[in-house]
Amino acid sequence: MTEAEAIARCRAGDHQAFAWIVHTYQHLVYTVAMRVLRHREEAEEAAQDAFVKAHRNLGGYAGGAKFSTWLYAIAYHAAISKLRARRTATNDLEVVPEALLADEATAMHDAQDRRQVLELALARLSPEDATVVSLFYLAEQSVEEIVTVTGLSASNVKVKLHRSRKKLFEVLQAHLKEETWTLHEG
Amino acid sequence: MDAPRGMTGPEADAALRDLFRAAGPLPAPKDLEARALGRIAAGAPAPIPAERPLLPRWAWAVGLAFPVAAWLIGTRGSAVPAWMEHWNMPARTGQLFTSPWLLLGVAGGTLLLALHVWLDRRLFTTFR
Repeated sequence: MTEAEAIARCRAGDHQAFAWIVHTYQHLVYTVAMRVLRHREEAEEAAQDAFVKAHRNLGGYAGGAKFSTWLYAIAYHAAISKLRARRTATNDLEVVPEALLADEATAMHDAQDRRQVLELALARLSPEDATVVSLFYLAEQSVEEIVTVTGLSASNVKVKLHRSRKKLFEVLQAHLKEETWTLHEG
Repeated sequence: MDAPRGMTGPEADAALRDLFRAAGPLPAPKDLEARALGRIAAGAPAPIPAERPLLPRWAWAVGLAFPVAAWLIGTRGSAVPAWMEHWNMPARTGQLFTSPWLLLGVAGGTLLLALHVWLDRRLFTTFR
């Protein structure tokens, strides 16, 4: 089944077609929510909310933007809503990124595990920067599409990407000793 | 991940993209799919049918034709075509149709309506 077929069948009331969409996008939607919230249970709830909302409003998807962009925008805003609710409830209590709770020595020892090192590097970024970077490098969204997802300005997205790339390289350079990760400025 | 020393911006982008691709997205909890679909099946009604535009396309065509026709009638003045003579148009109809107030009002209304439709479509595309 293609994405376009799945959308058309969903609009006709085929629940199986929406199951295909959930199955296809669950990991990336969860990743977007996790980058914003940095909390597994909340991210799972936000991802569920995003899929429910997407199903309810599929008729409103005009096709102007890519479906993935539309879905990530819903996921991003669902996660932001959860973040705001958390801040109200906990009076701005900072949630420590789970990746930082891991023993750094262990992380450095297991430097071969790229996912772990990448998570460690992303945890050094602000949630917003980590989201923008993940959308750009992982979800392969363009700057314009990230603008649609996040509501940030294009110049702001570019600045965040540039700054985050530099930070990521610093962490990667420190942890991936056997490989050279240096960024040539200019 | 053979990233050469002293990478430029595009090279750094490519290296990071490779790294992100190799790492992949965070694995969603195993029950996410089932729980999301369960919530949809339990409470969600059938998907809302696609929104129709506020005005159909033919209405825009008619709306555009009206000021053009009004302008043509107004500028022709007394030289009304023979087939229109029996309409017995009131005096100064032409002046009324070419009144800058009327034309500006129609143009302003059309612009506001177009802005409303554009914003509404953008909202549907991004947030709903």
